[in-house]
Amino acid sequence: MVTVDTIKRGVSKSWRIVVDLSMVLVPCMLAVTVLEAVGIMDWLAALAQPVMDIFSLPGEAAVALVLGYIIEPYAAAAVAVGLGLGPREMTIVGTMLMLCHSLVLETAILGKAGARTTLVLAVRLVSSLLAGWMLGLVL
Amino acid sequence: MDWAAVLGDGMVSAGRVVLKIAVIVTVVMISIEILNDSGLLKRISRLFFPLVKRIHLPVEAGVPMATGFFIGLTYGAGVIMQMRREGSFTQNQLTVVLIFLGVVHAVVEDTVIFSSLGGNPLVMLGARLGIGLLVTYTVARYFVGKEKPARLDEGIHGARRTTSTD
Repeated sequence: MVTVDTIKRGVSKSWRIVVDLSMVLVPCMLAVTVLEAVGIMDWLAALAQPVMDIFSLPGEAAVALVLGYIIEPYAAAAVAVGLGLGPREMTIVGTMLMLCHSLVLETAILGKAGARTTLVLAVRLVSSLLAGWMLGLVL
Repeated sequence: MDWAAVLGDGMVSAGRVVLKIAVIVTVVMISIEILNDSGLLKRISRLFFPLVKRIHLPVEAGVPMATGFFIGLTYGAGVIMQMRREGSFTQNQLTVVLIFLGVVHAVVEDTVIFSSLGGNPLVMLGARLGIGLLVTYTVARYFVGKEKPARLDEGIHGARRTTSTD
């Protein structure tokens, strides 16, 4: 039954999510701003460019992808916005991150529920890379 | 270099994104609680029945799949842990359900947030669902398809056995 409690629970859960997310998002965005300012981002981007070419993304996108894969996808997407990725790139990065993200936390959850963790990990990573490659071709 | 300005800019754009996400997450979480408490989710789970039958899963598997799909991975996994204790799944069926949930979960929240940050929602959602179904189907063919048909003979699966080779 839907009661006032339902709404209260929704609000308190979203509050917790937003607080947790901010803890990751704010430092990440600040770190990227600093990396950009001192020129390390350009160096990282050049380093990652050959791999990002597979998904027809700019080299900087690698930072967002790695961050999202390992830690948190929304923070990663925010970082991608900060890096100046346009709608086309955001669609590709967004799809890749939706399929595969927060691998540390979510693989643990899936493992606890009884999944074969290596299989889930492999399937998610392959799905994500496949999606990025295909979208890079068609978009 | 003016570090105060650099960090200030970073803080402002971070604050803007957090605010945007806060609004979306609140709306989505409240809707989810309503979806859950009103019993609507149980009814929506039926939409998943044709899919779960197609990949040789017991129909009850539609409930955790719908839960994870709409609400999130933690909830879906929670429902599965409960069903596991009741012995509703074989290991292979469990593998298939969890592969699906691993790739496709919290779709509403994810799609809305990523599109608010600039992605195209239809393309992102379409690609995710397409690939999610493809890998689930592939894994199901490989794991459950090979399982002893004894379990598949019962009830709902009997009708579907003939399609196991297509």
